[in-house]
Amino acid sequence: MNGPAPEGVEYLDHTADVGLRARGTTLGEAIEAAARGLFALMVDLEDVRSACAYGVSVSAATPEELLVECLADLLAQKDVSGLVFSTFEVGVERAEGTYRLSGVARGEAIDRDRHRVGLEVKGISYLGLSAIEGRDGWVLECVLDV
Amino acid sequence: MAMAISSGIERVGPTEWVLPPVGAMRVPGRLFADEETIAGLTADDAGRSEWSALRQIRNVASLPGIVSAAIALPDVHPGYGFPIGGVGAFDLVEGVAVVGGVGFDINCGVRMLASPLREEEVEPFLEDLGRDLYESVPAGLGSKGELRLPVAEIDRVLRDGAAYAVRNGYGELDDLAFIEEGGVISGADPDSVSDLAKQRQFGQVGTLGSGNHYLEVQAVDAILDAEAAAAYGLFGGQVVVSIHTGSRALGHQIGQDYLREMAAASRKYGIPIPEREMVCAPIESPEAGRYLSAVACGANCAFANRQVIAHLVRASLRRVCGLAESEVRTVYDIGHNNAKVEEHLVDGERRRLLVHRKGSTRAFGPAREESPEAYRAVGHPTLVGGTMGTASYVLRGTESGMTKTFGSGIHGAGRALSRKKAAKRFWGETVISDLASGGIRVWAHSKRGVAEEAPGAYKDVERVVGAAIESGINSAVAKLRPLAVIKG
Repeated sequence: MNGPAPEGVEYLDHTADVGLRARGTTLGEAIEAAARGLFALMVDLEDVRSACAYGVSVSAATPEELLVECLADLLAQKDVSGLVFSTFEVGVERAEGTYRLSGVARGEAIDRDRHRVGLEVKGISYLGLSAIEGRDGWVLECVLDV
Repeated sequence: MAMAISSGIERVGPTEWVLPPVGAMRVPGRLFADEETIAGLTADDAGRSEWSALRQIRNVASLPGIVSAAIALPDVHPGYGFPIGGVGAFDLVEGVAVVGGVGFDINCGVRMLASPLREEEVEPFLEDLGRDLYESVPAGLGSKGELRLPVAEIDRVLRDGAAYAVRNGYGELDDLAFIEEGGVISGADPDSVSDLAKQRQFGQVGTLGSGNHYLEVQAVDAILDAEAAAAYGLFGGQVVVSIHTGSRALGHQIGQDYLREMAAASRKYGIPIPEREMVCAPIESPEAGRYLSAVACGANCAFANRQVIAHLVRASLRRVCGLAESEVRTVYDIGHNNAKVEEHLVDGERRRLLVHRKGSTRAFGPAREESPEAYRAVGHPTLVGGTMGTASYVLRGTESGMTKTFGSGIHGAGRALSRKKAAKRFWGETVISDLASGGIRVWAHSKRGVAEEAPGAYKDVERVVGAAIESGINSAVAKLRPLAVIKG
């Protein structure tokens, strides 16, 4: 949120934290948008080069939980590897009642001389969490604890 | 006579309100707040209900084994499951441990250091001191602490808390007596914490973080309780430093992990969950045992974190003001996101309870053995953060608060505007220059963060403190004025 919200992303009012709404034609595209929305709060995405790739692979029983698992996994990499990401390509498959997401996030190590830093997100909450499939695709909502 | 205004809430005193039990509520909700705060809560309740603090109070009041009431303090606003400014005490046999009652930033809290210097003695060095603190205390996204700990050492931090930091040369042995629980909560088994949580903490011990965390050089603006202030070693015009931070990424990951694990436990034990963050397990269950152990680990990590930062602040005061480390005393260090077993008097009976405080501070009145000996006659301090531009307060617990709120007090002003609205309304550079014209110097790693944390985004701290005092749950000891602020 240093600059305007990334494509497919809208930030919602929440008293203490930040609500996130993400849209996509498919569930995978909507989760990609949510991931852009998450990292755009922390750095300007246009400053982040695609210097390295992180393979993301998570599963969950519902689309809502898949969103939380994916964002939480990417967020943890910020601390574990010191990485921030700007581009995401993920696919979602459903088999035997489980949603499986796999794909890649591209970015680079945080460089405070080059990246304009914003908020540090602490966690992905379940407050107001929703994933709705409509005629135009998926709309996902969650609240980020900052 | 009680007067109903809306949402079923009834006024029972100038700053005391009751939500009578309805539906699944096992006990009433009990709120301590002024009329303006209650009006805001009832308006929220009529709107989007999942972001309603009143609904969250009702949900807390519906949990198994809750004792007396679900309590909200004057800085109440919507949180995750529990409201911020919320207190819930549970019977150890029938009650539950609730993830939302602690939150993501386990044992986030405030450490206050007192210098022997007066404001006029520091003023010539203030610019240098602020700059030195900004450069030497890691803060903001992407900062790294000077301690780089492998997992085995992280385990020691989780077990030993602030004592680990002191043992490794960060701070003074005397500090420990002036930290809640002596700086280490027992029962912390590092095996209850995931490897991922530990890996995330690798470079973060001794970092401030961002958001509402801060480091502030302050002047004691007014002494409001001479006896307590003397016990705490505070005097008018004195320069103090407050550090507001928590358990950093480790605590965040514990919260994330246990939201998943406790959801399974809630299903296993057949506990209905109105909001996902309310996931819980019976206190006596193995699941709750593991969770509370992880909370103790997170709390100890936060104590260690503030201990390391206190050391960095002392080093800064030595470099800039020529003070020896031993001249900078820890007044107190206390958290405001925790769940701990405590003994309380309930309807004339002494009972051990699991007390969750989410965005609320333990505020024990006089004669409790948990307080440092030097403070026991007056009760320990509770440290209330204001905003960058407004006062902070040192309060203390009261005998009345021991029965009304299980010995709990407010932790801050509480937000009035969302971050989105604040960022639209305020501009970081303008906030910094406005504060500078009022004599408050600000150093910040994120200008956006400054806009979101602008004083105008918060409730009036005077109103919140006033309600806490008027309702008798806390008593004012000293008022602090910001001189220099470091933000992530």
